[in-house]
Amino acid sequence: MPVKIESMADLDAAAQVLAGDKTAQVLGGGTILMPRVNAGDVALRRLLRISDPVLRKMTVGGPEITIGAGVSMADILAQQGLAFLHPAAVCVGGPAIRNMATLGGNLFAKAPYGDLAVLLLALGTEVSLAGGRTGPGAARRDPIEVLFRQSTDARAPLVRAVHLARPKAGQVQFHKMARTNPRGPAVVTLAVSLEVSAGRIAKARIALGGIETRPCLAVGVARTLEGAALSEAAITRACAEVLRELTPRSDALASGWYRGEMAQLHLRRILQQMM
Amino acid sequence: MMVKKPLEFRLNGTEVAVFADEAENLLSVLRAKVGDLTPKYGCGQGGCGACMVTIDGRTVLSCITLAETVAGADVGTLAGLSGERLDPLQEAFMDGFAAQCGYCTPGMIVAARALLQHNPTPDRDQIIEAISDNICRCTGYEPIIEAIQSVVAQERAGGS
Ligand SMILES: Cc1cc2nc3c(=O)[nH]c(=O)nc-3n(C[C@H](O)[C@H](O)[C@H](O)COP(=O)(O)OP(=O)(O)OC[C@H]3O[C@@H](n4cnc5c(N)ncnc54)[C@H](O)[C@@H]3O)c2cc1C
Ligand code: FES
Ligand code: FES
Repeated sequence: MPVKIESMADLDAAAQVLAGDKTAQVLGGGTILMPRVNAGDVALRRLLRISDPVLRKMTVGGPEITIGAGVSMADILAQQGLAFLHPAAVCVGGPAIRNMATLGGNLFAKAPYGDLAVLLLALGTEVSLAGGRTGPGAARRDPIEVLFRQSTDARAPLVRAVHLARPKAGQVQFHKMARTNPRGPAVVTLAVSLEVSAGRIAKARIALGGIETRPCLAVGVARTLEGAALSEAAITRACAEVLRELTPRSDALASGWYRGEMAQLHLRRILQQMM
Repeated sequence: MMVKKPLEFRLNGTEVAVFADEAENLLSVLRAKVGDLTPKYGCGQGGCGACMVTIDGRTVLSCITLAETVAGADVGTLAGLSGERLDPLQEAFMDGFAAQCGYCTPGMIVAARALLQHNPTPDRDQIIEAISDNICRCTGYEPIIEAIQSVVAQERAGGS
C-alpha cells in the first residue's frame, strides 16, 4: 500500500494524530523521508505535511533565539543574526539540499547526519513540543538531549521550535570532519561550548556526532575542563577522557578506532584554537 | 485505489495542470506527466543532482521533492533556459567539452545558472560549492568549472 500524504494546517492537531498513530510521521523537507518513499519503504504509511506558519517562524533579534522546526538550512544561512550557527548549517549537503533540509529533520537524522543538531546540543538548546502536557498551544520545553534518547522515529514527538541563548563571542566552536570535500557525510562532528569566568572554565558542553547513532554529550570530558584554566595540560586531560567515556561506532565511512582517533585529534585542535 | 491529486503550477513560465499520484515525486511528474525530459533520473535518493530544478528560483532535487508541494509555484528546468538561442552556459559546456555522456549536464547547468543569478561574479571556490550537489562520472569536474568560469568572464565583459 503506498504511503498516504495528509496536509494539516494546525500543528497541535497534527501532534494529536501523531500521538494516536505510531505509523504516522511528519514530513519536513523530505531529504531523508522522500528517498525512503521512492524506494517503496513499506514501514512508511502516513506522512503529515504541516503548513502551520509557526514552524517557519524565527525570532532572532533579542538575547533569546527561537527557530521554528520547519526553517531550512538556507533560511538560517540567510540570517546574519544566526552567524554562530552558520558553520554547521553550511555543511549540510550542497546548496540544493540546504534549500530543502529543515532544522526539525536534522534533529531526527541518524549518523552520519545531524550536523546542526550537534552544534545545537553543545549550545544547551531547549525544544518546545507541539501539543505538550500543558495543553494544546501552550508547549512545554525540554532540553534537546531528550530527543537523542528516542530510539524510533515512530515515537518521535512533534517539535515546534528550538530555543537558545545567543552565545558570547568565541564561546563556541564547531568542526565537521568528512572524507570527501567540499561536502560529504561526517566521520565525526564536534561542537564545543566553553563559558569562561575569571580565566577559568565555568561551564563546558562538548557534543559529538558520528560517534553514536544520535548526537551525544561527552559529560566526563567536559567535567575534566570545568574549574580549570584552558591550558595544554587541561586539553591533554580532556582528550585522554574521550575514549574512557565513549565507544565510537564503526560503519562504512570509518572504523570505531579511526573515529576515536579523529575525535581526540579534532577536540585537541578546537580547544587549542579556543585558548 | 490509487489516489490522484490535481496539481497546478508554472513550468518555465507556462501554466501546467496534471494529476499526481499519491506520494509521487516532482521528477516523475515532470518527466512522465508533463513531458519535460531535461531533468534526469540518476539515483532517486537526492545524491547525484541529475534531477535538479528550481522552485521559485531556488535549486532543489526534484526526485526527493513531493510533487504536491509545488502547487502554485514557479518551477524551472533546463528546458526554460534556452529560447531561440542556447543559454551561454550550454554553449560553454559544448565548447569546453564539459559534457561527455551528458547525463549530469542539465543538473550542472541549472545549478550554475542559479548561482549566477544570485552571484554574477563567483570565484572558483564558490563555483565548486554551487555544483557540490551534482556528481559527474565523466569529466573530472575541471572542464565544468572552466566552462562556468568562461561564462562569468563573458557576462562580466558584457557579452552574451
Ligand atoms: C545527498 C544528501 C546529503 C546530505 N548531507 C547531510 C549532511 O552533510 N549533514 C547532515 O546533517 N545531513 C545531511 N543530509 C541529511 C538531511 O538532508 C538533513 O539531516 C536534513 O536536515 C533533514 O531534514 P529534512 O527536513 O529533509 O527531514 P525529513 O526527511 O523531512 O525528516 C527526517 C525525519 O525527521 C522527522 N521530522 C521532521 N521534522 C520534524 C518535526 N518538526 N518534529 C518531529 N519530527 C520531525 C521526520 O518525521 C523524519 O523522521 C543529507 C541528505 C542527502 C540526501
Ligand atoms: S536523481 Fe535526484 S538527486 Fe539523483
Ligand atoms: S558528463 Fe557524464 S556524468 Fe557528467
